[in-house]
Amino acid sequence: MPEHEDFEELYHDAPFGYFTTRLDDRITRVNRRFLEWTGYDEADVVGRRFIDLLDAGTQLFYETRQVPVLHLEGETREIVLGLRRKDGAVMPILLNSVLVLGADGKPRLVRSAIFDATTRSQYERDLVTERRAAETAAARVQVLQNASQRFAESATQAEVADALNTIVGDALVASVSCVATVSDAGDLEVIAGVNPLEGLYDRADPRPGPDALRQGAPLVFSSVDELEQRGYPTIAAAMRTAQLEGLASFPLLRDHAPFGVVAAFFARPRELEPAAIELVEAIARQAAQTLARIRLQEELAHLALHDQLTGLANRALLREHIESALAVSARTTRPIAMMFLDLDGFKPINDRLGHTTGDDVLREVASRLRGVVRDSDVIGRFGGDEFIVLCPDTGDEDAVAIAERLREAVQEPMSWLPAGFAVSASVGVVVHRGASDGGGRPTSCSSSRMRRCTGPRTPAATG
Amino acid sequence: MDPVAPASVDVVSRNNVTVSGVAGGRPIVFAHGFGCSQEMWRHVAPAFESDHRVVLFDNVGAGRSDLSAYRAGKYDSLHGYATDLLEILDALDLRDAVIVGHSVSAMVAVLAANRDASRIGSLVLLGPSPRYLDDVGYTGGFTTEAIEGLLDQLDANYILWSRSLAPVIMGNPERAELGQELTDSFCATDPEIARHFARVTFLSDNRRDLPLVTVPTLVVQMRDDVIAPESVGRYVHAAIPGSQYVELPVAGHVPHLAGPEHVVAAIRGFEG
Repeated sequence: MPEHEDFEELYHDAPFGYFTTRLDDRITRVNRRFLEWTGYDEADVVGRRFIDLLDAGTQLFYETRQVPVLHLEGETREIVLGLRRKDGAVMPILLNSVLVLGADGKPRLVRSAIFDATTRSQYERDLVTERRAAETAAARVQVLQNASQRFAESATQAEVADALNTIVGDALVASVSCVATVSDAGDLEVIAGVNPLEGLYDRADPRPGPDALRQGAPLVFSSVDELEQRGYPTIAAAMRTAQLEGLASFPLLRDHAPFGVVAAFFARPRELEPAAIELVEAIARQAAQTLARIRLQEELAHLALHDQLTGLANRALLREHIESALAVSARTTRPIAMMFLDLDGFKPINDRLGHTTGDDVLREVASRLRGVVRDSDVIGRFGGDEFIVLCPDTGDEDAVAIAERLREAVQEPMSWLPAGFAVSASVGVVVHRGASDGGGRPTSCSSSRMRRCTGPRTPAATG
Repeated sequence: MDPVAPASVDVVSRNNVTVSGVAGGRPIVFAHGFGCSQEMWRHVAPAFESDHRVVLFDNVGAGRSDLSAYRAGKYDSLHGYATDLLEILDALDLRDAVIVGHSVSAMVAVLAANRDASRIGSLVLLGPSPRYLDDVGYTGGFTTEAIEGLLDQLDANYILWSRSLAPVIMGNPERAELGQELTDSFCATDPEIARHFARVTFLSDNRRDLPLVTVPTLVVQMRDDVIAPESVGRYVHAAIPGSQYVELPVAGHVPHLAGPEHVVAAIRGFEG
């Protein structure tokens, strides 16, 4: 007689836990191995839903993944789950399940086997943890490297701001982000990205942006409720209107002095990890250094091309403007007008009241001249008390009118000058008529027609 | 909040939109939840093809959606998914649509209806939960640790998925072809996206959005649903003005697979 193994024995002593559930997940039979591993009595588990034996994180996975796949595919294999034993400890298991169909082809019950995966599971969890930590660290280094490169390639403040906005938005997985700097008026002005709260609050309200700027440290709010509790009720209301939940505001520091902020907005409650905050701080530092570099370059460029006393264009810049205006005029045949101003009465002020007063007068004249021409016109200081105004696309009549305005502007009294001191201007006008003039230089009246000179003196250019 | 997709975005291929049923019938749109794809509706959707225009789609990141359309910032909240749903309604020019949203997509449907209800006739919320985490005065059913546990679970299982790409072998030779199809499509999901979607799903809080719902709404509650327990279903019902509430004699969180006929009956009953 061949050696016969009892099926019941085979079932109970199988080297794996074996159990049957109904479609509602209630356990109908379990083998002894299952009970031995889990510490339960048969009465503890029969009639109970299998999901109720799982730990909470596993329950979510079981319902959202295991159950759908089992129903759709008829089978699942090697699903990693955590089974809560009777003593409370969680035992990692691998679960294999098959859906058993009835004669009508409809699912009837589920048979499942579980394998103790304690050793393997620990190993794999370590593997996952390590891999994730390594990936996160690598991703952060990558973000910083990309940031360095993009900042290095930026030539203007706008480019840096755009790069900063994108990099921070991506690094924090923000729904919206923006970069703002302190404007001349002293308020924050968005220069890149979008402020989703624009128009939803009053500028006088307490706001995280200016506060982060003042404190020189990031302000992070994981939820609207937190914003409310920490003293920003109107911003909390604005966030609700904009369907936003979380907000992080990072100051941009230059030589430890804050000059702007980068802000990220989240459409769900978000806790930012300290490492993520540090990452953005590092990015913000890089951006600030780049902005400082660019601002210095711009200042140097400005210094090289402008008169330091009045801020007007200097000879070099004027020459550039004149050349480009001539080129445009040659192409379009539109006229250009140039006015030459010579101050009368300036020398006595400078000699008798001192250079400081003289400088004040020059600055006042520059400011008045700016006030009566278009933004597109160029004003330059040519010599000690000589100014040139270049007006593109300006014909004879307009030129005369502008010259008259300039003269009147200078002639307005300067109340702070002592009695007996006053300045006025002699103004000469040249209108260059583009190609029809044969490209003559406007600084010489011989090739351009001097229409009219106003004021008490004839400018040297006519001589 | 997200701008409407420019006309150049092919919403239909982005979300793998499939349309069946009667062209002139009332549109019914099925939105699947976390963890799977539009395959979840395979036993429910056909029951509406005789008199409805039936629309199925995959969330970006799931099923056969266009993975390249995934932008983390956009999909960092359910608003991004709501934008997509509205774009689908727009692209198909649907009117008076019934939106059936399961699980997290129930909240996506709520957000979409609150933003623009012009194409939405009614909502059917299947196992909805506005917040999974417990809070002061609210029992969502889960702690932060449990959610972290789920994320670990995803990681642990993706290791297995990524190395066992062998085709599913079905017990039944006649169903081998089916098995092949299943391997390709069932619950296919990108691991990184699934991880992010899990966070967005289980860490969202949409309780404030419920009272704003103005379209007729049916809340469908299952028995013994650990993901969306009865107390949560009743909370949703109480918070949505004028909503109806029905409890299905089906256990668990996926009645559309475990008891599809009950889901069909509930929707039909609601439509009247």
